[in-house]
Amino acid sequence: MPRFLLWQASRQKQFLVGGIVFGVIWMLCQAVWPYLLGRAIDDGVATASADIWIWCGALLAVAVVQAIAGMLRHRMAVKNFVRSALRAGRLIGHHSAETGSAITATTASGEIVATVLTDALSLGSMFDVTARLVGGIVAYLVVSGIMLATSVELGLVVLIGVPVLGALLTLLIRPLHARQAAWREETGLLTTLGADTVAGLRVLRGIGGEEEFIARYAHRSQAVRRAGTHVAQLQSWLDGLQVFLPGVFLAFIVWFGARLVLEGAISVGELVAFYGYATFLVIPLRTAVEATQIFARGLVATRRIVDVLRIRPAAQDVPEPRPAPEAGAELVDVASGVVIEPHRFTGLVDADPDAAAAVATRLGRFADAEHEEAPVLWGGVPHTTVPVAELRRRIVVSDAHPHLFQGPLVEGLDVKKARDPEFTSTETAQLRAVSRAVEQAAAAETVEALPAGLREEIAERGRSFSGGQRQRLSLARALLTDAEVLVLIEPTSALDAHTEARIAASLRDARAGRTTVVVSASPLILDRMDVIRVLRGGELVGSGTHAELMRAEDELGHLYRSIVARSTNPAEPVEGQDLEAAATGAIDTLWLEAEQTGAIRIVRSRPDDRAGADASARPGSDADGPEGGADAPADR
Amino acid sequence: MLLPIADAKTVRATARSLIREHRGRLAGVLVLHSIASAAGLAGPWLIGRTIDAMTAGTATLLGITIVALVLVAAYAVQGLVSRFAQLRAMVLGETVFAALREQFMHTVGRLPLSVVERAGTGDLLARTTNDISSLAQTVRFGVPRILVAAATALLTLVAAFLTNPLVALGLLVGVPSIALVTRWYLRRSGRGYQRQLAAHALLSGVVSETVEGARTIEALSLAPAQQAKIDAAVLERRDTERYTLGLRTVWLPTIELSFLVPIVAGVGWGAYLVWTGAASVGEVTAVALYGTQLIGPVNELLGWMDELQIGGTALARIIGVADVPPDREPVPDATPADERLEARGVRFRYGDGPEVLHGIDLSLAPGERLAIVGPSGSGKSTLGRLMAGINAPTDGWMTVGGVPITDLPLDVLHRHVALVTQEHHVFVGTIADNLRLAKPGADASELESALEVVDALGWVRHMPDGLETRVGSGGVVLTPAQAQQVALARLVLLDPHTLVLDEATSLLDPGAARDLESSLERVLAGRTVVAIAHRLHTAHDADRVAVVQAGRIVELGSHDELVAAGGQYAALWSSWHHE
Repeated sequence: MPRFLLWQASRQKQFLVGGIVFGVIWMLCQAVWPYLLGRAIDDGVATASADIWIWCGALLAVAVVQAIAGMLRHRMAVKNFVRSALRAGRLIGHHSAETGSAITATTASGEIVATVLTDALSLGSMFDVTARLVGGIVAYLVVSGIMLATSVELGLVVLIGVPVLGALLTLLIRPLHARQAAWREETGLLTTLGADTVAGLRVLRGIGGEEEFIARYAHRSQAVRRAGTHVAQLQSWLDGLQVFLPGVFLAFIVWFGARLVLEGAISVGELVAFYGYATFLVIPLRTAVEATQIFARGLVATRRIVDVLRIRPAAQDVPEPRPAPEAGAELVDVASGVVIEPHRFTGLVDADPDAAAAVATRLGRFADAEHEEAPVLWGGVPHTTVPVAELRRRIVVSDAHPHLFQGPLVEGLDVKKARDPEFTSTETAQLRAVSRAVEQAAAAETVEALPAGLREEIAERGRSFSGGQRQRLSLARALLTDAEVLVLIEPTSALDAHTEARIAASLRDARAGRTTVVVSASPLILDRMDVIRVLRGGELVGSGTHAELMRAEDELGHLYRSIVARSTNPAEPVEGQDLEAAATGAIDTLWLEAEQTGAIRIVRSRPDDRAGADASARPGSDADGPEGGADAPADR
Repeated sequence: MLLPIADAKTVRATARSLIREHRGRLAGVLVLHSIASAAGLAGPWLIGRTIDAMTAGTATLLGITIVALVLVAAYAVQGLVSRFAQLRAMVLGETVFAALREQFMHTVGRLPLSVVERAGTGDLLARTTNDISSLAQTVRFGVPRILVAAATALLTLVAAFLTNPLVALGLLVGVPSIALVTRWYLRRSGRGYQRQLAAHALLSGVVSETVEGARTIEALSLAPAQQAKIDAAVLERRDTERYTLGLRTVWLPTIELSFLVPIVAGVGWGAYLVWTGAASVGEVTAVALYGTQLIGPVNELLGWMDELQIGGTALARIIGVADVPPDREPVPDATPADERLEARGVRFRYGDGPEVLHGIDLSLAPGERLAIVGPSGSGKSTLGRLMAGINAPTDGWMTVGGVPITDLPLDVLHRHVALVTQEHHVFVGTIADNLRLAKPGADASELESALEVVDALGWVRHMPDGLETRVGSGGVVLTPAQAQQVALARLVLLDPHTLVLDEATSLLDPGAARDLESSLERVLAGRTVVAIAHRLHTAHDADRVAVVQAGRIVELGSHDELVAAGGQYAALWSSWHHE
């Protein structure tokens, strides 16, 4: 942690130094102000001499310097604050991007967001206050020096008195800090509850229970209020003491100074200056108290930041990685017994879809620890021994709930460019490649509906899209990786059968000659696979093509049909029949067919209506209307 | 679709009504602070008196000691009174803020169903988190501090004038420049801080999507791209800070000079007045010290102006949510006579859009299963939403037991009809909490039997704390299938007599949690079911089939009847069976 802070400091040396220098000048101006004021009163006001102009002039000059130094000090303070806060925020963001799923395994994601927002700011405040504190300490020493020169006793009183006062006030800080921490924790819980309620609002409004949640929120909110009051009780004592203790100190200095005037040791003006010094010293004193508070909070924040930064990726290079196998190597998942042959389309099917997804996920090596039990051999070598970066480039797993990210759509989809900034292609080539992938993923209509098409700026998390649209765009993105091995987990789970059929057809072209693994129970998809690995509880039972398995009279065939039939129906056509649309009875597809044969004449309610799934951007269309609470389309 | 933001007038009115509501306590705080500030003004006055006594040669050691003791007493009073004033002010701030956020959540929880369905949650989420915390600063600390500073500044000025009005005039030299530069500053800073807040929200959005999407980023090696985006957001945040800092670079030194110059002016002018005999040295000294004491509070006052603007912006977004017009006016004593769902001449359009439904007539017998069949864009999902009471028809009647369905208060509506979607948000809390929202006050055995119905009791019992296991963000993560079973168990507890299933978005999707079909089937048992069918077998299994085309029902009847009638449905059926 100290290392982290020092590193932060070293990145903004000039602003820290500037903050200190201007802070010192600014403070000194304020310190010298009482002196000049005292002289003006002694030599100008009291004696009614023309010297008043000299002293007034000097005061003005100091005022100008003080104003400028104050401004520069503020600029430095803000830069110290902003730089360190943003650097910390950026670091956490970068680290999360690099660490992958390990980051959410140990911390709730809301916690990290809070870390960025508040902890980074607390960290920034530390750097801001450091500069001010140093300025204050210097000014305090100078004032003590001036007073020592006038009166040794008085000087000593100031020199010792101020730190004693500071220490007394700081005694209150620790309990105050504990109460503030309690308040922050309550606030964090409240924010989480509020965010959660909003995210599930569709459920709450559709099912009920909002009263319950409002009550829960109000209950928590009152707990936060009580915690806040608890803080206020102590905070207000601190504020009161910050008035009273320096006041006593001031009264003592006035009394002592006045005695010196009576003895003729100092002038009236000097007494005024003493009073001025004593009031001035409240400023560095307050800064010191403030600094203690900020440091207490800042250090906790820093610890949390460092904790997040310490989380390591779950998949990391071994000390001496082996070279990855040549292109076209076979993949073997030892635990399940599944073999993925190169250059072919492999379907993975299990009665428990999660078990099939687990096998597929293992191929991508997301947690090395898991592979100690269940190794995956890539060209005969455990894939945990090859460099992660190369594995990620060559084996791409697109999971069942892929995320889209903020930014121009074309950039978000063309991952080759996003992964590798060095990668160059002309803009037209890029647009062509992306358009083709979008077409293959049956997402062309979705893109066309966007005002700026592929150049559309996507909101964070891609929240303006429906679940089905997100799934198709993610598929386009996965296709654009051009990976040697592409693993797709339930790529069409949110799509209607018509769209599913289109994707099943284009997938073969898109991935021709390369290795593709698809976890799905859709007959439309499975019919396009070269081989289907049938699993039971995550263990390989047998293999075959869709047609073979649909006809097989053995146990394997029965198992396969029982899985696939669930997405078909009891009124299933006889085996061996064309399985395209008929198998699922997808009305959209049937309707299209019937229309083509002239059996049905479709009357369109709106001229711009398209058949198929992609009218979904508009409310009231049927294909894949709004889905998912937090995921619901937002920016219509 | 964006949620409204309150205009400046509404924000001011809200602020005024808050002040009115708490005026008694506010006045109490102000009185206490005035007493404390008045006590704090004793210092310069006593110093002035002492100096006058010294120049007159009448000062004694006893006199000085008395002055010092009075000074200590004054500070004791100031410290003690300001402690209680501060406490009351902060407690008031906490109370007002708690009331504001609870009111906000209350409004959010009552947002019209159709708005929630369409607006999404991003904007609302930002208001719940960012705006509430921006406002916290203003209400919890800003308002109390503003009160203190205002009271202190005013009293200090009054004290200066009481000491010697002629000398004190010199202190006013800075007022015009403060007023002018502050006006200049505030005109620009509001926009500047809004941009800064927006940049901050963007940064937090990008970082949070990075955290949430960490898995995708890892799988697709997207880290460099995501990092570049974070960097851009950081830069934007910094640039917006740069702008406001530029404003302050002008504003702050001008203000500081406007404080200091009047003190100098007061001293020079005071020297002249002493020379003419219109003031004493002590009076000039006291006024000059009062001038110095003004700096702190006025500075603080001005500093909070920015915060007030930020708070005002946040407040506008928070109270703006209340401006969403209700989408229905429930008739409190509307009691459906029976469970019969009926559509008569139902027409519908979204906003100003084209009409989607052109006169639907339909009557559902209790316990019946109706499949709605039609091509994409025929309006069948819209019809489903109308039947579930999410939107009210633009024309015609959608009734349950003779009562227009959107006349029912939502809690009553829920007990009649529910829309089943793929929605499976798991709320932070226990599994029991997640279930109880459908039936507040349900006991454990009720919850267990609901879980039993959807075949979920087994895994729930195996959870570390059973029903009391904490789930959602930070707790046990449920699989999508488990989450959907929880959603189904909610339906069992809610027990509506009619369910509207939008197949495309419902559990019947291929690939999505196939295990759930038997769970769903048991939830459907004994209820009226409207299935927006996307697969023909759904229609085959239904009691009746309605074929919707271009916003009209063109065929209605049982599967066999329609096949026999030889219409569109029959053509569809035969194209499937290749008969």
